[in-house]
Amino acid sequence: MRDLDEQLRRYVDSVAPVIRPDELRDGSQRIRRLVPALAGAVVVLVAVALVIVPGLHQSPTGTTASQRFVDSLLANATVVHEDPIIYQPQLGSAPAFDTSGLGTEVTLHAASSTGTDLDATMQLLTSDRDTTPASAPWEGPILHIGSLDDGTRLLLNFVSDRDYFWAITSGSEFAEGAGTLDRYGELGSFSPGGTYVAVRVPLETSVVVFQLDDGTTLWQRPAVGHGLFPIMRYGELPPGTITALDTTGATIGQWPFDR
Amino acid sequence: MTEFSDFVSQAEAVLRRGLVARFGADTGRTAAVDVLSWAWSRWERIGGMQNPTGYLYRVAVNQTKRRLVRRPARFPVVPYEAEPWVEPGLPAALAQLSPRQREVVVLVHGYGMSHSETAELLGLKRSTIQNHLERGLKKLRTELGVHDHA
Repeated sequence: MRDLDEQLRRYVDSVAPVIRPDELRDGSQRIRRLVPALAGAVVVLVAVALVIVPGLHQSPTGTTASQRFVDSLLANATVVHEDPIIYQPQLGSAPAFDTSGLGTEVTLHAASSTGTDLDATMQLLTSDRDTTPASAPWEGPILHIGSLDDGTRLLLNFVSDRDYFWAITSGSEFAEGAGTLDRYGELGSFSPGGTYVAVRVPLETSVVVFQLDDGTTLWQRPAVGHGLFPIMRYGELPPGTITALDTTGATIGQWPFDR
Repeated sequence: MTEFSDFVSQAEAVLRRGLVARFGADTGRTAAVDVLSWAWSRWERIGGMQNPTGYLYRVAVNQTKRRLVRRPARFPVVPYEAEPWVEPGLPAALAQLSPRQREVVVLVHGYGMSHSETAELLGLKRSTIQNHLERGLKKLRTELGVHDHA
């Protein structure tokens, strides 16, 4: 039998020959035509995959609604961390109506810039990977939805084109929730006496209002339809509602919250 | 900053071979074409990075994984007339390795990359590279019925 190293070389180069410059030129020209209509490197990359390799857009079971959902989440995102790559989507459009009657605002902060501010978070998440529900977490697309004033972050990890899980990190701890595009989830608690609730609303949402039957009313500008609320309360949360509003204050949708 | 054409001449082989090992022949090569095309249009930013090859490799892996969920890597058989050097069982044996094992075995053994270079490209520790290499080689040799004579 021939030398294994030599065989590996010959095999890979025979089934995947050297890339010719014209292949890159063709690809790049297609990119340039798309750039004026698209914003951001992430969008360009998605577009390249769609235009150059239509087959890649198909999962083994065909294009799914949730795959389009993932694409839409990444559409205007920027890369804020390189290893692993973490995308930061934009906040929804600012409300053009008076929000003073909506209750208390919970601000969602974007990751500041490309750099190391997410290193500790990712180290925490990957060090606990054995406890996560997915078989290969933190290797698919990761979105940093935002952080709260207390430093708690909400991240999404798409482990497949159908399933993703949410995770929040706070200090040296993290909590998680998993599901297939669930509407909301309680993701751990904080001291003294409180619970974090992540919510999902339509992408076009400008303001999401989280109201509980005990009178708690909070609102937030979500990022790509995802938000995170810290609820100060001992014990179980009472039922309530999640309401999505557009930039004019009109209701897009309303859903019951009931643990 | 390195010219893009110079970068491609240095990085093309590493990206293509690594991605082929990871995702199979067709998908891996296409991923390399895509990511290099993308880099061309963003070279002003990417060219200034400390490790653009590693960055692009991870971009390609993430994007390809996102689109090819659970699709097994395909390694076609090469006709004997076209490549008599290659053992007919090699493609099937490669397919039995994990993606990480294939990447490491192909890059280190097939193309002589050092453990440090491979670790930097894949974003892994050197010790992890060593583990994947040992396990991958052992599995590959078993699949091919090869024994060390050292």
